[in-house]
Amino acid sequence: MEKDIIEKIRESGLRGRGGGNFEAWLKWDIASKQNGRKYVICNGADGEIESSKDGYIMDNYLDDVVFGIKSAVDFLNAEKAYFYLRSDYFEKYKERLSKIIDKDKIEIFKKPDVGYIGGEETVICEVIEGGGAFPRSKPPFLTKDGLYGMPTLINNVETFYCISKILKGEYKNKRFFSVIGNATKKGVYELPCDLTIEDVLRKTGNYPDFKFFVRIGGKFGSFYFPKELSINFSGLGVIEIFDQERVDNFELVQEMAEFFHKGNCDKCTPCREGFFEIYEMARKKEFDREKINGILFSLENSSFCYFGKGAANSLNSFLKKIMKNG
Amino acid sequence: MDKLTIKINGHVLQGEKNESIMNVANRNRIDIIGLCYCKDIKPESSCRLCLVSIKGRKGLHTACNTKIEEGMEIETENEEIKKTRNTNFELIFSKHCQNCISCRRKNHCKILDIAKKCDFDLKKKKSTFSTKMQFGPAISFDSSKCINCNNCVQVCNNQGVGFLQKERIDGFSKITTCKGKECVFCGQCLSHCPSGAFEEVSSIAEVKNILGKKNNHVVFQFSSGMIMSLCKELGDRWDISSFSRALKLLGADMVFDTSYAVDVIVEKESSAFISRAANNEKKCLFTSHCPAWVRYIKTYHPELNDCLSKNKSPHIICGASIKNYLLKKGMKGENIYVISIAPCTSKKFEILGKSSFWGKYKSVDFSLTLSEMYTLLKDLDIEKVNEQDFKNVFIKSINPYNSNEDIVRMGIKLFYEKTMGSEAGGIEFKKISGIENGLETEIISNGRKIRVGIVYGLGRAKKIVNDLKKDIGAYDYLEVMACPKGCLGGGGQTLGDLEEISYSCGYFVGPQDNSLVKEIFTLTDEEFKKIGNTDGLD
Repeated sequence: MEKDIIEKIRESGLRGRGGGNFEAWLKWDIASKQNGRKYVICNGADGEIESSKDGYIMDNYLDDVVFGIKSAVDFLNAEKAYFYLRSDYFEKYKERLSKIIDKDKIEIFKKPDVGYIGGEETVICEVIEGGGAFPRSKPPFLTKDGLYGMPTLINNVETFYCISKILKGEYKNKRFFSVIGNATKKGVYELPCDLTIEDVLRKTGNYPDFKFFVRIGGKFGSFYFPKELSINFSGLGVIEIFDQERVDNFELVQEMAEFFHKGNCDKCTPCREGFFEIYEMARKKEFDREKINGILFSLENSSFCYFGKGAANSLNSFLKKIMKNG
Repeated sequence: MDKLTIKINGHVLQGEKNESIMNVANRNRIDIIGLCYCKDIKPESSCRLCLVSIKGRKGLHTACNTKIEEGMEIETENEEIKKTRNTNFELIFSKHCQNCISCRRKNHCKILDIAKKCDFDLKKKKSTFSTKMQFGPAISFDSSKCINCNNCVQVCNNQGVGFLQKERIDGFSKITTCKGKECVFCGQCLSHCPSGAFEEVSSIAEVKNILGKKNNHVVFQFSSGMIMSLCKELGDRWDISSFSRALKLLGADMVFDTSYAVDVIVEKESSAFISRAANNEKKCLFTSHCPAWVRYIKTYHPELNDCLSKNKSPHIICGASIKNYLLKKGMKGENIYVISIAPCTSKKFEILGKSSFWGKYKSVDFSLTLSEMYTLLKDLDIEKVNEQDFKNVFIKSINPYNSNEDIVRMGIKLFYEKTMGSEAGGIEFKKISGIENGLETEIISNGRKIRVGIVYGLGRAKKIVNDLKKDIGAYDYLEVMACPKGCLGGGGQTLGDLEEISYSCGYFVGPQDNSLVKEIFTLTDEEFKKIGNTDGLD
């Protein structure tokens, strides 16, 4: 039985849908090989408020998600699973969930009001343990040393949905794409994984007839011009369309910096102070490029967790590509 | 023990498993710049200045919390490190409102040190927002100097108090206080704050004022074991003798060694203990020397109030005894001022408490930290200081108490001798398992086993307190110093390297006039009750 599950997931080629793109079977395999009490966490923090892709999945396929979680608990012989939900999801689904879960095996856990960082996997462990919303260093990875210091398998809502489909033999190599921003047909679409970004935009009737650029992968995503859209998807399934003529670049940077400023945990200097500096410059519409580059360089090189590195990556891609000429 | 071999800047070095890069570097005198790093607490790794690069690993890593691994090759200086560190330092500095003139850290300012080492041009910048808080009469916090390193929150939690917290409001972190919690004024936040945001509430102006008035009779007291760090700070030619003379130069009429009052307490405490033992009371007696500890018990474990010794603390008894004497000599109470000097912030709170009053007078009028003392003394001319005489200076030639253990040891010894009529043998303290810096000893007196514990640090004491709640007789006698490094590591300590501070204080070379000391500190039971006992005052 055990081999079977790992083998099935492996054959499906499933990669985690939370954004990390890690091979799902490998995570399950590592967790299964650990000793001691184990935990499972389903990450429903969904920090991408505008797309709320996980909400769409839970609206339509909550039973599948729960089945995926249960399968993990059974497979790992885990002590317990935590279904970690951002507060609006928690309120929305708690009743439906309470009817379909075994409370001894799955606990619904409400994400505290701590911003985006509250969805980072080590932060989730800290929070469930009753601590503050601060990331831990990795390694050790959660599969070895996670919740309460025990081996922990953490997957995103969509990943558990896929697991359920795989185990039921219904998986068709599809994923959810959320199209947001300046799109005519905003929404969440389930489409084959191997589509290019351009394909997704065309198939969903969202390919703009104006000069545009997109951000792929949510708030931490990278920016692309139309000519670059023949790439496949990896990471978070969010496509955000921007009208190139109408977007105020300074305002967008201001918005991004504000999001990162409010969403980080304030542990490290570059996150704590850096985003606010960028925010202020964008607000005044006066960029000191050298200073910004210094901050982004420091975020990439010296932040403790992936928040700073990811945010720097996203800002860099905007500033160096879209806003190359000021 | 597993020895690991690593390379730092090409030097082959050895370290222990689980040791940080910072530790190994420090031990080998390799300088790594760090701002929030403190040896004695878990690294917050928040400043991101102690950056190093490690061969084969992406990005830069903080030396304070990165553990060494076999074969690791580390570089502590290169262009990438410099660039990143400068950016981070600039970001930190943009938050820090420079106010060096009045800053208690000015002689040990890590920020200025780093700026110097990195050739960093500090442009004075005013911070945009500032909240000032004052905790009781002891400690103040200025948010415009705070760099959000979180050290204060950690030490406050380590102390088992949890009064300080980090709160995020609109994306900005602020140090705030927890509702329902009370500060015990231990001052660990001061000693661990790298940016001088925490300071003691200064009494310097008031002290200068009373020293300036002719009719006043001003008495200073300090424990000679406590001031060596200050002497070191003041310069090579400073020692207990010059320190005492300097107080005279400032205008002191009398200078006393607080440890005369410790003698009194040791004597009285052993008597109190004997009466407890005689009544076969199965209850732990807590010393009440440390005001932060007393406040901690009263605030957080009030059900154990009864365990606290009814004796006041040494400097309070010392102050009251001196005032008692001077009044008997016909001096007017309102003209007598007693000022105690200690590396302590909680005494500022203690001296205002009801139980610190002696009749209508305060036993001690002002309590100065070593840091404040430094400010008062730093500009004195040592030549002039040494011209002062030793008239009315009463300092023991050798400090008899080199540590809290010594005080307790002396107490047990007296207790033993009084109860058994014979000399106690060597009293040895062994470590309390599971409690860092906890010591205990046992003596058998009249067939009864007496268990005595000493703990430094409130967080650690909390464990014993919890044990005592289950079994109030688990210990018979408990001495707690609120600060994890004892009084020497108090919040009012100067800010030099604490590792090098010790009680070893040399000799006082002035004359010993024991007749007056005897007169002042030989208290009848009736007198002691008034001067040294808190009964009915709380």
